[in-house]
Formats: sequence, structure tokens, C-alpha cells
Amino acid sequence: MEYNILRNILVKQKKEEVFQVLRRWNFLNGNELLTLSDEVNARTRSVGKSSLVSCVAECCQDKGGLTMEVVGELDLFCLHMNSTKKVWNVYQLKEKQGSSSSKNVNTLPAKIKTKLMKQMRIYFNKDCCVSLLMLDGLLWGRLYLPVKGRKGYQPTRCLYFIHYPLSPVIIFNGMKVSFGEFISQCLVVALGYKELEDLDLTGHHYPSLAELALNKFSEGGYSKYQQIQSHRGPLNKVTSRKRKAPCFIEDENIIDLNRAEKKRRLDVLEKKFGEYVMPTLEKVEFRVELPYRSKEIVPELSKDGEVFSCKVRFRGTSVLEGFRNLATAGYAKVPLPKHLTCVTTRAKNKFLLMKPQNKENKTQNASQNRTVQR
Amino acid sequence: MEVDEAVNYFCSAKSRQKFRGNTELISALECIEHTALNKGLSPEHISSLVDVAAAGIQVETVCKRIIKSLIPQTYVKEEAALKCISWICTRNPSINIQCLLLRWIIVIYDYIDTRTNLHGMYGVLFHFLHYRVMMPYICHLLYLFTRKEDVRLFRVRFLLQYQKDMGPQPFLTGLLSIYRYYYPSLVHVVNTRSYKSFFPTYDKKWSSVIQQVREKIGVSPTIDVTFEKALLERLGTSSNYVDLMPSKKRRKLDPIPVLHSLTTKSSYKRDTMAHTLGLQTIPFVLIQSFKGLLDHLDNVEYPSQIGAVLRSDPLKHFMSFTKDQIACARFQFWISKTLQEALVNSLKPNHKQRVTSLLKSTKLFSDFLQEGIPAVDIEIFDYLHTWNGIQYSPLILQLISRSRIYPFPVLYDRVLEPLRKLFFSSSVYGKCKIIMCFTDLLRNYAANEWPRNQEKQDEDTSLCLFKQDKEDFDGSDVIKNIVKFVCKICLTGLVIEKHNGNALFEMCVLDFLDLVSNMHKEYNIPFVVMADSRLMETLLISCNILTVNRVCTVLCRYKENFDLLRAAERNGQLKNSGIQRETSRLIKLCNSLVVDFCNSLWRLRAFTSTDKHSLFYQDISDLDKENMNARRKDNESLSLFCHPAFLPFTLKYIEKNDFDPRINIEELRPLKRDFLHVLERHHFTGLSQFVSTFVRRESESSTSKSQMFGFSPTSTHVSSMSTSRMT
Amino acid sequence: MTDRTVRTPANVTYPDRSHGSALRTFAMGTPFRTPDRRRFGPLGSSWRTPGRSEVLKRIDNQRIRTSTPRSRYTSKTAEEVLTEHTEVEQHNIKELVGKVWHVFNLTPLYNFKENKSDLQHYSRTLSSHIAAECKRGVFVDTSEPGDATVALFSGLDVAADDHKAVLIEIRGKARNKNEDKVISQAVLFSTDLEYNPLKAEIKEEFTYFACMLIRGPESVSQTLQNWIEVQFDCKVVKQTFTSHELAFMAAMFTGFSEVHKPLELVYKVPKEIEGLSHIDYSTNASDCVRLWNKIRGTDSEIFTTEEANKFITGLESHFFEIYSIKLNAMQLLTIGTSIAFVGQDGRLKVHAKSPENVLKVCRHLTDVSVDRLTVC
Repeated sequence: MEYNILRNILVKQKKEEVFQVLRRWNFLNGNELLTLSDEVNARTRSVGKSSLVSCVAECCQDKGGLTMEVVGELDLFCLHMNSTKKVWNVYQLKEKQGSSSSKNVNTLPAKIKTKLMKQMRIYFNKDCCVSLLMLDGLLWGRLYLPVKGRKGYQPTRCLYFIHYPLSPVIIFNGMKVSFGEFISQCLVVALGYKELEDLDLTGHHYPSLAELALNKFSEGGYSKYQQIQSHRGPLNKVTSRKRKAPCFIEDENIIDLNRAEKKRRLDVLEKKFGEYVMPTLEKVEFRVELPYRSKEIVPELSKDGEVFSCKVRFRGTSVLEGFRNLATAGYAKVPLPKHLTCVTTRAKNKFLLMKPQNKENKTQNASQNRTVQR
Repeated sequence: MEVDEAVNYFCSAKSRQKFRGNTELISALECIEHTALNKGLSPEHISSLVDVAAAGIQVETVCKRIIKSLIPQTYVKEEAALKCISWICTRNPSINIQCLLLRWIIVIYDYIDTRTNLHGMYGVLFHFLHYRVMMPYICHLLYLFTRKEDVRLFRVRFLLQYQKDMGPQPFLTGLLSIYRYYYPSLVHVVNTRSYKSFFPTYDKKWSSVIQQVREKIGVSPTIDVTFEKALLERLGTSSNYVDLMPSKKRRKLDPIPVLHSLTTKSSYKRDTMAHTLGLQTIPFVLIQSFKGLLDHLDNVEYPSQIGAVLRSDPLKHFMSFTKDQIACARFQFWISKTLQEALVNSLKPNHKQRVTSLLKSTKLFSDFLQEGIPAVDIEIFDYLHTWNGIQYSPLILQLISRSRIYPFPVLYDRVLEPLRKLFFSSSVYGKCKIIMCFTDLLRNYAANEWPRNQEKQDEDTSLCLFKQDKEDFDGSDVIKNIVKFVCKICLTGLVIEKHNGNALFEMCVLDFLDLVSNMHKEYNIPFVVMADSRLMETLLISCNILTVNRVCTVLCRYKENFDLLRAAERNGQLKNSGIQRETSRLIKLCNSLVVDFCNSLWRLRAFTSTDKHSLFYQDISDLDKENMNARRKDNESLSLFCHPAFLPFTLKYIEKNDFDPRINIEELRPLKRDFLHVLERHHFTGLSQFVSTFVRRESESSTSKSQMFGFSPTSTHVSSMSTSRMT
Repeated sequence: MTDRTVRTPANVTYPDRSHGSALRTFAMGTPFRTPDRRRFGPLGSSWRTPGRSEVLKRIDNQRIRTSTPRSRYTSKTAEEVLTEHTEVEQHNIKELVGKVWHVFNLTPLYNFKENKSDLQHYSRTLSSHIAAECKRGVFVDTSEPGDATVALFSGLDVAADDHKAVLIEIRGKARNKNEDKVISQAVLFSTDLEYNPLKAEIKEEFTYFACMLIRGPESVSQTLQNWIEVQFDCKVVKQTFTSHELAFMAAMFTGFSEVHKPLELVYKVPKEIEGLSHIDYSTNASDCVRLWNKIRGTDSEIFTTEEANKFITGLESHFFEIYSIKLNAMQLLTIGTSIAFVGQDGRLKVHAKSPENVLKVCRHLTDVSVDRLTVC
């Protein structure tokens, strides 16, 4: 069984990365790895990936000590290397239990693991397996919850999560409706909270997601402070992601009549977006339920009283950067509307723009921001 | 022992003789072999020996050796081959001998003198396909001489059935491929191999021996080339011959289709009927050369994809000869879509090669027909709107210059306007190219399109292949407007390019002017178009002696053309009175130009205060009345000696004749004619021509010439002044 | 029933086509070419459009004969004729719905005969061609194709000049399975041609299908195109739609008033904007219809570019007011309406529920194709 799972996991990796992963996994020590690689190279000139993987799996199996947990750890290492392949959802843990003193700090993976296992025994059958690792300061976890009746490895029943220790942010992949509630219950108890809430924030690049989610909790006037402190602090290991300065080509023969305007535009953008590279989001969706607004074409429709409903979706490799570039290039009017610039502070992917009801705050998830739809 | 004796010996042998120890037999045999290897055997000997070998009287080894040594000296009589076949029919010789005989026929196939009777044997040979052992050889032989009428439905069925039963055999596939050539609709077999793989030559050695012997004697390899042979050559040599249905990659790589036979179902039925009537249709596939086309002109049919005309010259001849409108329509549909696709989608760099070759073949076809193809015109004109002037530029410009004549507003919108934009935004070389394109366009219109425009519709003897519904418009209007347009842009171009690469541009402009001035004489256009006088004057004051030279010749040519035109009018050849009035007006213009030129170059009086339209007009009130010296200097500045173009030569002249370098122009005046001679020696004959045409010496009598030009009395003064100085 | 013999355009002015448009305005090329106006009204209404008379005038000048439908439909109104779809036709029209087609343009086919024996002959030739390609190893990845059938396909020909549509089906089996199912289909049609672009003297030899729809694996599609090109001496070219044409279609199809799917416009963000690649903007269908009704007051049968532009600008300016992003500077990549989904690269998927609307889509495709045909 483990053999199959091992194969399954390794086959998804790129051929060059297999040995890298194995090294990190540390299940086979250095010598064994060497012999394995020699053996593999000795076989044929170009080893196909599947045969390579089978070889590795055999070797591991022969060694002994291969449990589901260990295999799960390998899976986590693989995932760590290719984290952008999966779609991550951000959740928030709410209402911390117990005192906030360091006594109750659950940062040791082992402790969390045991707690989690205990919880999961309550809800799930015995086949489930938990693997936890601390990688780069983050807690990576893998929960494998096979359905009882079926045989074989069920990769769709794997749930991966990344937890930022000491913060209420937890990022999931593979969360399913069927076991969502149980899992949330297990995790919150294991980590010492009361509730788990979906933040509506998804993407492929989990550090950006985390950054968006974490900075949400210090929003408003603190955002600039946050930037300065966290990015420039001496203890900060994160390298600065400052934007490249736009270059003005100084050419005497070209007189740029709009230079002042362009500069003004860039200044406004910098004020809004900050001088750092925006976090990576692949998709931003809006559901717009506003009345018709055009002024040139058929303006009388706006007085109809009926709502013009539409859905807008922005797609790309890094949508927030895209917004900024749109404005720089002139495709968007500066200043950009609030709902595009506030994505970072809102920390959401999906928005709903609606007409104000009862003259209250005009966006539905207003929380602290006072945005006004003109 | 002599060969004749040996042959006689064998022929006379009526009963089986033993082989071993029979010295006579052996020596005869060896004699025959020896002769064959050295000189080859004569046709009669071969015929008789065939009988001997096939009769089976002798021992088998003897027969084999005889057959192997049947090397022809010159040619093989057809009856020898026929005899072979008839012996095979008798089933008398053993099966090995039969196969050997067949192999022999295949080997010496090229050397059989006539094959008419052999074709009659087709059915017999086909019958032998039943015998498995002989099948490869029979197939090969049939492959060699199948003609279109030999392809019968029952034969095809038999072969297909056999193939189904026995599995695909290379020789069967080979024979079917020939059948498929003629009637693709009948045979649907896969054909992925080439000729060489169908019939591996098992008798390579034999045929090489024969070739060696023949080379030794020095005989040409084949006697006559029928089209079956042509077919063989084609199949044999074209190693990259592809199957009838091209693959997708090939379609992309080379949009011009290959010649195929018609794929319609009805062609078979029609041909069988035709065959009974004695007619024969030949698919175009088999026509290799022009001669072949001529031989079978009545019987040829068009290929299945007419686009193949771009590949094949005989087909071009055929198309223009038959003037088949259906074929023309097919071609125009195909070429318009292909060009649309090629020019619009040619963004990827690897397409460039294929688009270039497509345009090249189109241009060749257009040149061959000496007319523009309307569909091509439309597509190129559409492309011009988005053309960047660089991509495929020589070909596009050539295709434009081949286009048909259209009413001037249309032409302006579609061709002249985009080219004008490109003209003004390109370098001087681009400008030159565009002017050359216009020159070629005008030449094409004058030579080819003008007659086409003039001819009446509905005449059977129309000049063009691609008929087009003609709008009624006047070709002369187009030509005049084109000249006007080009002169305008040339003038502007000259001003812009004053500093860079001027000489080349001026040459191109002068080429154009040469053409314009000579149109009446060369192309029989019934009117003369006068180029813009400003243009000519601008060319006069250029710094390049070649230009000045040529401008003078242009004016001379104009005179010639006007002369001819007036003569034709007087003879009543041209009836249009409007042209006459126009001509008079133009002659006046020409005259004023001539006067200007004369004045500046010859009479040293460049600036005039009388003729307001001249370039050299100087208002009297502007002139500084006191400074006569300056005025004189100005007037002299464009003279023969001081003109910037001639200045180097003047200096040389002065040096050569050891004059004082600070010599005055006045003193040089008498030496004008001498200077002209000097220039002539340097091949600048234009000026002398100009002077001799327009400036008359006092001594000559002046009557008719000046009247035609309406020269004012001042002209006579021109000549008189100069000559008096000279003497 | 109105008497249709008099056709002089009394007080209607026609747009002057000789300026500014890169169209053929002289005696060659298709004589009637106004891509800024398209037929919109009910099917078979081509002889009722006011633009027709101008066509006739020009056509008379050039001696191109078209078959005037007057003689055929004098007894019934056009609408009556068209609503009589037989069962087979209804079924055929439904065949087009719900599948992803690629659109191609064709030049007229030479020597296409439609009697039964010829169609069978074509089927056999096509099958053997496919077998040859199989042997050559073209269809390695996809399922092995087997037999092909070429048959007539009724229901799509509406006007007098239309030739009956042709359906080509290629059956085959998937690699591991055994059943034989249809893996590729091609439909050649021309619906509601306003006039026959072929000249009289060549009309007998040529058959004109404006448009070809093919669905199925790419390699089979290529094989089919090859075969058609060689068999009938024509040229098959992929049809691409420009941004402008897509916008036009989006507006026009909204007017057919089906509301089961939203109107989706996918814009492609220019390459220089890094990070953002597409903007999907989908509006509720009934709201679109509302907007459309306001823009298009009259009940005319021509739909013009001005109206289409107005519609799209309306949507884009609404977007601009909300987001301050100028969508009109970006290119439309695909559009999806309740009637059809059309992509820039020539993909088409018809969603229309009523057969009338399906035929109208066909008619529009025919119009677009005819405009691209060069006739000399």
C-alpha cells in the first residue's frame, strides 16, 4: 500500500526533482541515496520516470519503517516544492481559547499532531493519517481521510493545510463539504480556537494569500506603518520586494507634452498601491448589482430603478499588479476606484457591489472601511 | 567460330542434343556469349535465338545461357518480344525459362523498337497474373506499358480482390499506382512507396552488363520516347513524389497543388465510351514538355486542382490556348483565397519562404500571360492598405505593375494612394523602387492594357484570358492622370531628397520621363502626354550632368513624338478633334520649356522677365537696376559653362586648352560648340542633340520645323547670335 | 400582400461606400458588400430588404443574373413558407446545437454532383483517403477513424439560391473501445443567400457553399479539408472573426431575445500590461435585452453597425463608470450569448433554443463568408 502511494506521489514530481525531494525527506540516508542513484544510472542511459520511481519505491520498502505518516511527510515535501500547482483557500481561526500566555502555545508540531490525532479519532475512522511538519517557519499538515469501502490510494481525499503559527490564518487545499465541519472542529481544538471561517480568498501563491490575510488585521492607517516596519526592519529576513522604478528615457528630440500628467498619475498610484510589489492573486471576481450608469448611451435606463446585474472577473498571473499597470499605461482612469485598490486591505477574492440599502454603508462587507459608491 | 554459324547451328537443331561433351554445341554457345558480351547481337539473331531458347529443344542450361546472352547491339525487334509472349502462352518452356524470358523483356524493354503490337498483348499478359510465380514480373512489365485505355474496371477489381486476399504486395501496389494515376476515382489504394520499392531491380547486374556493352559500342540508349517512358522517368526520378492525397503538413508547406488526374467518377465512363470511338483523353499528369502537349493537344484534360498551373509550363500554354472560362474561374477562386490567406496570415517568419515562392509563381504566370489576373489584383490591392512596404516588396511591386487598367478614381484609391504614403515615408531607395514600379505600370498599361481597353467587347478574338466585365471608361484619361500624379510626387521627392542619394532618384525619374515622352512612338498611343514642366525645369537645375543630359534628350524625344502625331493627324489617321486641340496646347507648353532651356543653357540668359509661368521668372521690379554686372552673372549662372553640372568639365576644358583659369565667360562664348564636342566625347550626347534639334545656325534655311513649333522670331535670333560669335 | 415588382428606393438614402472603406467599389468582387449593415429580420426576408434594390441596380449594370425569388413565392408570404419545417429538418437543425464547431470559408466547389451514386462515390473516396492517412500514422493519438458518409442535409437551405446542405460524417472507434461512433462531422451550407455570387455562365459547374462547420479532432479535420480541396478543387480557409465582428454579433444576437444565458464578453488585455491577461464581463441577459430595446426603437430588418456600436458602448461605459477601466481599448476575444458562443479563432457553439434563431445564426455566418469571397 505504501509502495503504491509512494509511487503515486513521486510520479507527479519532475524527474530532476525526485532526488532533491528524497534528500529533504531524509528517510533514506546519504549512503543509501548514493547507492540508489548509482543503481539507477547504471541501468540504462535514459531512465524513464516511472521506472526510476519504482526503483526508489522498492528501495524504500526494502529499508523498512515506511509508514503512512512518513509517506505523508514525503508528500508534504513534494507539495512544498510545487505549491503553486494547487489552489489554496484561506480560512481564519476565530476566538482564541485560553489565555494568550506563552504557556498554551502550540507551536511544537509533535504536540499539535497528537492533539489532532486524538480529535480525529472521534470523527473519522482508523485509516486516517496525519502528517505534520515545520517547514520555513510554517506548519504544514496533511490529513488523509480515505473512504472506508474503497481500495487503493485516494488522492482526492487528502487535505493539506498551512498554518502560520501564532496567527489566526490557516490555508487549505482540498477541503470538501463532506468533512468540512469535522475537520474544522478538529483543527480548532488542536490549535486552541473556537471557530473556523472562510475568508473568500483563493489563489495559487500561498505567501501572497497569507500576506493579504495577515495584513488585514492591521489595516487602515496601519498599513503604511506595517510596510515600513515589516519590510525594513533589521530582524526581517524577508527581502524587500520593492518595485522597479519606471525608467524615463531621456531623449532630447522627444518632447513629452504629457510628462507632468504621467508623473502625477504615477504619484497617485504610488500613494494608493505603495511602493512594493503587490501580492500575487490570480483571480478577482466581482458581482455587480448596480443600476445602469452610462452617461452617453441611453442614460434614461439609470432612472429605471432596475438593477443591471453583471459579473466581472479579472484573470491573470498577478491581477493586482495588472491593475496598477493598467492605470500606468492609461487604460484606466486614475485614481482607480476603491474597489480595485482595496483588495489588499479587504483580503478577499470575491466581492459584491450593490446599491445601498437604507442609506447605510454601500458595500456589503464594509467592516471598517468607509467606501462610498459614487 | 562465327556468330552466324553458331546461330544457324542452334536454329537448325531439331532434336534435343546432349550438353555434356558436345564440343560443337559448347563452342557455338561460347561464341554466341562472347560476341554478345563484346558487340551485342543483331536484331535478327536475337529473334532467332529467342525461338531457340523458348522452344525448349535444348537443355535448360543451354537455354538459360542463351537468354542471358541476348544483348542487343542496336535494338530489339518487336517480334522478338511477341515471340516470347507467344511461347509463354504455349506453356511449352519450363516455368523458369518463362520467368527468365519475362525478365529479359523487362530488361531490354527500352530497346524494343516499336511497341504498338505489344500493347495489344496487354490482355494476354494480364491473364498471366493468375500464375503466382510469374506475378512480380508480369506486374512490372504491365507497369511499364499501361496506357489509359488499358485501365479497365474488371482489371482493377481483380487486382484489388487479389490484394485483399493475398495481402498487399509491392508489385501489385505498383501496378495499382499506375492505374490510380489515370483514374484516381477507381482505385482507392494506399500508396506510400516509390517506384524503386515496388519493383526492386533483381536484374541489376544484367541490365548493367547490357548498358556496358552498349556503351562500348556507343549506341544511344533509347529509340523513341513515348509517354509511357516519360511516365517512368517521372516516377523513377522524382524521389519525393507524394501520394495523390497530400498530408496536412505538405498542404501547409506548399500551397500550390501538384498535378493530379481528375477525380470525378464520370471520367471513367466517358473515357470508355470515347475509347470505343477512337478518342483518347490524356490526363495532364503525363504531359512533360511542350512537345508532348502539342502532340496530344486535342486530347488533354485539365488536372483536378487547377492551382497546379503555377507549377507546370505546359499547363500554362494549354490554359491560354483553350481559354476555358471554367478553368479560369476555378483558378481565380483558388488564387484569391490562397493569397488572402498567405498575405493576411504571414506573420510567422517561417511562412515567408512559402509566400515568396507563391508570389513568384503567380508573377511568372502573369508574365507568361502578359496580363494581370483580376483576382490577384484585388487581393494585392487589399493587401496594400496594410502593407509595410518592406515585406515581399519586389514581388508585390512587380505584381502591381502587372495589374489591369481600372478607372482612375479606383486606381487612385486602391493603388496610388497607399503607394504615395509609402513613398513619402521611405528612404530614397524605397522611393526609387516605387518610381520604378510606376514606370513599369505605365509601360504595362501602354503596351498591353491600352489595346485591351480599346477593343470592343464580345469579340471572339479578345486579347485576354481572364475575361472581366468591363466598365466603360476611357483609358487615355487614366494614362494622363497617372503621368500627372507621378510627376507630382517626383517633384516633391526631388525637393525632399535634395541632399541624399539624389542621383539615383533622378535617374529613376528620368526613366519615367523617357517612357512618357516616347509613348506615342513606341506604343502607338494616339496622343502625347506632357510631363509637368516644373519637373523638367527642376531637373534642369540639378547638379548632376547625367540628369541634365537626359532631360535634354527627353525634350528631343518629345519633339519627335509631336512630329509624328501631327503627321498622323494630317494623314487622317486620328479622327479625334479633341486630341488636336489638346496637342496644340501641349505643344505650346513644350515650346516654352524649350525656350527656357535654350535661354539658360545656350543663350546665357537664364532669367526672364516676360514669361510668368517659367521657373526662371524674375519680376523686373525686384531687380537691382544698377547692378548690371550682377544681373549678367545671374543670367550666366546656368549657362553651358557655369552650370553646376558642367562646371567640372569646364574647368578641365580650360585646363586642357591652357586658358587662363580666371577667364571670363564672354571669352568662352565662341567656344560653345567646341565644348559640346568635348562633352560628346564623354558620351554626353544629349546636349548636342538638343542643340542640333532646337538651335539653328544662321546658315540653314528655316521653314517647316519652326512653324510646327510656332517658334517666335526670337528663336531665329538665337541661332544667329551664336553663330556670329563663333565666326 | 404587397406587390413587389416596384423596387425603386424612393426616399431612402444609402451610405456612400466609396469613401473610407476598403471595399471593392468597382466592378469586380462581390457587388453587394456592406459589412456595416446585416440582415436581421426574419429569414427569407432578403427580398424585402430595402438594400436589395440597389443591389439589383448594380447587378443589372453588370449583367450578373441572380434568381429573383419573386416568381417562387408569389402565392404565399415568405413567413408561411419558412415556418414549415419538417420533422427531419427540425432534427437536422437541432444537430447543430450544443456542439463546438470550427468555422471555415470555402470557395465554390467544382463538379459537385448530388445524385445518390455520386454521393456514395464521394463517401468511398473519403473513406479510402482516411484509411491511407491512418496507415501513414497521422491519427496516432486519437481514435481510429473508419468510414465516412457524405449525404445531403436538409433544413438549412432557405432561399432560392441556397444549395441543399451537405453533411459529412466520419465514424470511428476509440482506441480501447469497440463501439463505432461518430467522431467527426462537417456541415457545408449556405443559408438564405441574398444572391448567387456565381456568374451565370459558370453556375452549372460550380456549387457554392458559403460556410463549413467541422467538429471533431484536429487531425481528422485536416484530413477532411485536404480531401475536399483535392476532390473539388476548392480552397478551405479558417474563418477568423475580428473584435469588431464579434461585438457586432454580440449585439445582434442579443436582439433575438433569448435569455437563458448571460451575455459574456471576454476581453484580452494587451500584452504590455503585465499581470492581467483577461477580463471577463458577463451581464444578465434580460438586462441586455432591456438596453437593446431602448437602443433599437424601430422594427427594421437591417441591423447596422451604429446600433451594434451603441449597444457595446453602452455596456462598456457602464463598466467604465464602475471601474474606470476603458474596455474599448481592449480586444474582444470571445463572446457568449444565449444564442451562440463565438470565439476569435473561429470556434462556434450554438445554444439557441428555437430553430429560427439557429437558422439566423447560419444566415449571419453566410453573410460574413460571402463578403470575403472574391468574384471576378
